[in-house]
Amino acid sequence: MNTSLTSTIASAKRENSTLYFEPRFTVHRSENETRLRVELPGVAKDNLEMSVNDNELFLEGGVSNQRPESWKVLHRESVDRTYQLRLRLGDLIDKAGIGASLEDGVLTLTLPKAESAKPRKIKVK
Amino acid sequence: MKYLTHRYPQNTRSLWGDFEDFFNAPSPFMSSSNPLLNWNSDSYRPAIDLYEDESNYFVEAELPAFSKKEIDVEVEKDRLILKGSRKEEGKNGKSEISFHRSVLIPNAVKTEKVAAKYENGLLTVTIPKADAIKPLRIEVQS
Repeated sequence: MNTSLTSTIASAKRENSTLYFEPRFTVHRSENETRLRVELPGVAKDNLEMSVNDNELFLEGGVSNQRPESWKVLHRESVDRTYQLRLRLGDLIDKAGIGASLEDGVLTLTLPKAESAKPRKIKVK
Repeated sequence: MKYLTHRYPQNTRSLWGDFEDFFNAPSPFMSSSNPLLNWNSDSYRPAIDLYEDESNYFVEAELPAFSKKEIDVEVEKDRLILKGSRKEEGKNGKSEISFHRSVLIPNAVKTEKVAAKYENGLLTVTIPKADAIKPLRIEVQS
């Protein structure tokens, strides 16, 4: 299978009483880049960690909406959780060129295609 | 329009009434607290939390990927209505994702002072309590 992104984490698991969730994400590919949109509601920039190591993209985002202690819960549907996502990046991605922006609870990562992976036009002399 | 209405059993929400989900509401008996499970292609049910402190009620909704402009917050009589829609480009072209949820709000509030804030994909609506139901502190004089 020719996918450059492969999820390697189960959707939710519990470690040391922290609930880890795999966030919802979408992948769009174009000729020159892959765009990854990860939904991280409640995660602020300061609570988001990202790294690329050995072709693996790792991101972890804690929900930062720590409510004041004076707030009493009347009803809850959301869950306190930490988002975690591990994705295997193919060799065809220029890791140094990865860009990220966080807006409206959505992290957008642009993963440019490595020069070597781009189609090359060869001029006929 | 066909829609579903259901009432959640009351537990801790003595001041708050029922919830309504106008469409696509999962059964309360099999509803999961994981908001991610409630997604589907064109409408979804954002997770909503309700809190209170001495002076306010707070309604929080997770609305990732919506922009401020795409979210409507309305007070209609005794209801707080949260609704919105946005376009998303997926494999099968553009689709519209919308939600509509309403919360019955208690009577003793200042509906004209309701305020909403949207940050990091999280909507927080603050509903100030009417002075009559705020706890009154009486200082003990020496």
